Amino acid sequence: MIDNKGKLFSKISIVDILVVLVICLAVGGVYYKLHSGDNAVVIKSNTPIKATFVLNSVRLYTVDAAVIGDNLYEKNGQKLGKIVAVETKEAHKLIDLNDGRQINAPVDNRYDLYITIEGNGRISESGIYMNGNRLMLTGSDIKIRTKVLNCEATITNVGTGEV
Amino acid sequence: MDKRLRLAGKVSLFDLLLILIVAAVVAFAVRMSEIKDVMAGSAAKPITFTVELTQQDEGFYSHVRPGQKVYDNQKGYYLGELIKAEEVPYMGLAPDTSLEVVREYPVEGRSCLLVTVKADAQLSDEFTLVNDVEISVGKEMFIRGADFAGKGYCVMVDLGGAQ
Repeated sequence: MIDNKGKLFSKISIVDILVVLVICLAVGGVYYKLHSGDNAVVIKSNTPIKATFVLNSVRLYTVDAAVIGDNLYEKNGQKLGKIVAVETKEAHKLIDLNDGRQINAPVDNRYDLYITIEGNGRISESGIYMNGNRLMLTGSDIKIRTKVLNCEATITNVGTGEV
Repeated sequence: MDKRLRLAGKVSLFDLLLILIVAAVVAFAVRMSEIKDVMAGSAAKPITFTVELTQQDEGFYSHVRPGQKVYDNQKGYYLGELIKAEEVPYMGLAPDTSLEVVREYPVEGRSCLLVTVKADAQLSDEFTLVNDVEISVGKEMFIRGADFAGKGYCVMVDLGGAQ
């Protein structure tokens, strides 16, 4: 089937097939990234969505840069919504004690910063989307920014109404 | 692929690569023009921002004085005038197992330099730009003056009412 030149039936080069496959995978990947979720049945479109992000163990500098009223964007430029609440909690870290136990110990001068936004999105069978194709999943990481803040956060809560 | 690197003897692999590169450049240019459009018409306004340079031996940056011009050390763009250079202790974190907390403590012999720069920035809802360099808390920055260079993170942006 494959001859000594690496051609299928002496006509099609294996290398050609591999190159075409790589290109197809790349194009397919980009298409999937841009259009994933489009085919899911939309339950509610253009509906208000509230989402909360957490930035773990940050310093006061970062807390001060999160301002209620600022618009929040995904790092690629897509606007997600407006910041409606900023809350801080004491940061914690797992440490080992001498007796072998592990505890979740508070950390000096570090905060878990919770940023809540309101924006528009759609609810479909496959989840909640904000600003087009951004699937908002609790636990997933997201790079976000405002006009004065640039960071990576984790989505902690997404829903309509109170979160 | 033949000896002339043509897929199925017809499509040149180099042509394909060239098309991919052109597509990437066009995508980048479109993104840049979107940013420029956002900024179009916004007059430059005075802001200050502070960069915390990575910890060094204590006194490493003690010669750095205000008044010098500060540049982005990757793109070479002018950022503004250094108005304050403050050496602060480098703070480490270590578990205190007796008190069951993680303590912040100054690391002996190490310090950080806080460089505050006065700049003219273009502001939008989305970006704070100084000569096309994005200024935001959490962003890694590479800066240089007349007698120093370093990398660190932007820790403060003061728009000073220039919003």
